[in-house]
Amino acid sequence: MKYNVNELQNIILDIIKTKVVQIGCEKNDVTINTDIMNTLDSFGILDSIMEIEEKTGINIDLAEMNITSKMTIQQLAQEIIHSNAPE
Amino acid sequence: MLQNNKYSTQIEFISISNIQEKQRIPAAYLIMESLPDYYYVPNIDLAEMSRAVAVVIGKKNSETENGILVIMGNNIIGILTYLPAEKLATAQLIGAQSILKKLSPSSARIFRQHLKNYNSDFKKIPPAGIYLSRITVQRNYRGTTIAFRLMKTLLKTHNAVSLHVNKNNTRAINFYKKCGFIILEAGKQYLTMTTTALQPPV
Repeated sequence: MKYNVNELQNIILDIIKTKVVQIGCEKNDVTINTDIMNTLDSFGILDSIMEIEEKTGINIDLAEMNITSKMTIQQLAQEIIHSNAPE
Repeated sequence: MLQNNKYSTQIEFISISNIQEKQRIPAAYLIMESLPDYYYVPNIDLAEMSRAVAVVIGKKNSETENGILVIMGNNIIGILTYLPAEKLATAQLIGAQSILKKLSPSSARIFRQHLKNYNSDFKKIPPAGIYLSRITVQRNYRGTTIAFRLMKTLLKTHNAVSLHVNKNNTRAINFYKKCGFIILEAGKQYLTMTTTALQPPV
């Protein structure tokens, strides 16, 4: 894996900050503890996931991840790392 | 209009987990027909979309993970899919992502834009019970009681069910009412309906 959890969560953080600005929210309110699932709508989340894939080259398969109705940026980064870890 | 008794002994209901590979594309077309605003996208070939949808059928944690197929002979003539209501938000994400990954890059770009503009206006559903994500019967078999039997098969094992239906789809709304559903909430474009088990106490 090219990124560690901290690097990945910083990339995700930047992407989510951009998304929340687009919906008229304050980007400084977004931290690694922000619950993405209740901050963006489903297609905002999906778009963010695709941007993460494009920016990092990491394949993110949501079906293979433990996605829950509450998920922070930190948890998402950990899940991505975990689901892409060699078996 | 077709009479149901003509078919009643010829159809069978099977779990979506038993779908055969050759049945996936016909099932995908039925699923697409159940939600045309979502699946019928200008400039995306229907055959390509059907191949993408076909792969998602029965996929773990998607909106179509669980379901019932109505089979007559070798043909699928109806389909119903459902999932635990609490998993709806994540299942929608997984389904949409799976389709995007199966489309060609140019079609994926179009579908991504379509999703951005797709205003589902779905009101939140009760987190308990199951969510009926898709139900449809092939056109030739509408007007029979196949849809009722399909729904009855579901309600035998699940009494707490919620769904969304387009406000303009009077036929579907009447069908759900006959099956025991009541309108819980009205959005601009869609109604939220539930069985009485999910109705808040008066």
